[in-house]
Amino acid sequence: MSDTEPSLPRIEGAVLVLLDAADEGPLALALGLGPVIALRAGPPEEEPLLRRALAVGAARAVRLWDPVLAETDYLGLAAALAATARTLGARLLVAGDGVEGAVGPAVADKLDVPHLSAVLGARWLASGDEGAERVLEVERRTTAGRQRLRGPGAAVLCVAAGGAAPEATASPDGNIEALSLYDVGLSAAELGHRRWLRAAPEATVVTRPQPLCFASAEELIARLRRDGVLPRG
Amino acid sequence: MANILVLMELGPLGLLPVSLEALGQARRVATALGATVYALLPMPDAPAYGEDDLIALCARHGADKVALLTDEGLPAEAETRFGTHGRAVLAACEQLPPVMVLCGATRAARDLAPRVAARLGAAYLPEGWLSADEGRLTLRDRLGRPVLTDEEGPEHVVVMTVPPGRYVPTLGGDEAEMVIVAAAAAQAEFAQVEHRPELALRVAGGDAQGEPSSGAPTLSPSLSLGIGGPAEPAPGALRVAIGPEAAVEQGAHYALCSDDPATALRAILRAAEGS
Repeated sequence: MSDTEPSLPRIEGAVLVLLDAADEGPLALALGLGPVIALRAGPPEEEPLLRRALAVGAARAVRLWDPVLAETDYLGLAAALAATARTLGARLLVAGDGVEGAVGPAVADKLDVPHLSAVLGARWLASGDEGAERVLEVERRTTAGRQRLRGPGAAVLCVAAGGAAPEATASPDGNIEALSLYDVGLSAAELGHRRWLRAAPEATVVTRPQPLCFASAEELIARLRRDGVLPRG
Repeated sequence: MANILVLMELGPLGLLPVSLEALGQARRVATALGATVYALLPMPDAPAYGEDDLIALCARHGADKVALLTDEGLPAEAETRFGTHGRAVLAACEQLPPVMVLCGATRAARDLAPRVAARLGAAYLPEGWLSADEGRLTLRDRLGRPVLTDEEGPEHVVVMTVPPGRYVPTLGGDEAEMVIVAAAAAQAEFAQVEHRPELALRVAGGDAQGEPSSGAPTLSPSLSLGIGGPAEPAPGALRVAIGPEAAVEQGAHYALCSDDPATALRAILRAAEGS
């Protein structure tokens, strides 16, 4: 980070969780990897999400907000989250892998670190050499199985949806830090140009198409085999 | 001339059907807009004599040109992901600047496509809709809402994943020009240590005996079956509806119209076990 970039007090080895309103799996996974900083890009009404994170053991809760974040697309949001991660000095990020699954990989791209999707679990491998870069072991879902990988500790892990929620262990009354785009070195103008990618709120929802229909189980099974989901017969 | 790039994905039985479906829709749109369709075919090595079936298959299904993403460094992991193939795809985007990048909505694409979109500064439309009628291009998001409509083609690059079963493959010419893209494959930042085959399957509405399912749902299934009702939405899963009314179940990728869904389910579970 250059001298001109903003920074805030840091927590050594912190894991930054991009909170998802619909899924606490990322939070649960992050709590097993180190001290957690919970981050939510949202208005003050979303602070209960951050209070919940504090209650389950997050060391710090940060809310980033600017009205332009409600209008920008996945990449504008990712730019803001990545700038916040840099400002907080976090190298390992944990995000959700929800319906669209775009924000986590886009944040990784902005930070120029690797990402993995469909993550089921992660742990640090013990390092015998003090000062050596720690190695992260990650398990993720593939179409036909489970994959175990090893890699660097600076990464974005996108956690498969539906994981178990962590249990409350602490008081939710801790301080929530409110940041603006200015605090993380951005301006609304830098994100606003991404508005063109969003569907108009008043857009008519059209009838969704019919699924591809099969007349027999054998035909469906043949297709699922060609899709690589079912094993070869 | 505008380029439409279609990432072809290989499965255990050859090119994935959804890749051919994406290629087919790219062909139709490209014909309407006057664009060139490139099939991106990742290959560790350039094809030897007699090994060009895949190229011919891409040509027959609508590709004007086939770009071979060849590099010995393309690692042979269990499944494509950005860490293994991202740089190769980005090299193709640099050499063949696209207006649109399409790929099947597979689990691999969920890892690769959004990051390619981010690198290109592109719009990202997962499970999007794409059509070109009377020279007018229409793009819709996964909910069917129009996001971009343009008579000249998109002003910005669009990366879209195409759901399986939405489009039918097309038939094109017999030959396609071959282009080699010198892809500097990524040194996988994460390296595969192990891959264990395991079908992650979720059944909603019934089990092999036709009884209501119970127990904890499988985390992140690859296949979500809805028996007599909707398949549970599960990111990254193929959704199948089975039942008498299944054909009208919206939101599923596939439907099996059957008056005996329990028997159909048992057949699928046997196939899942490899028997």
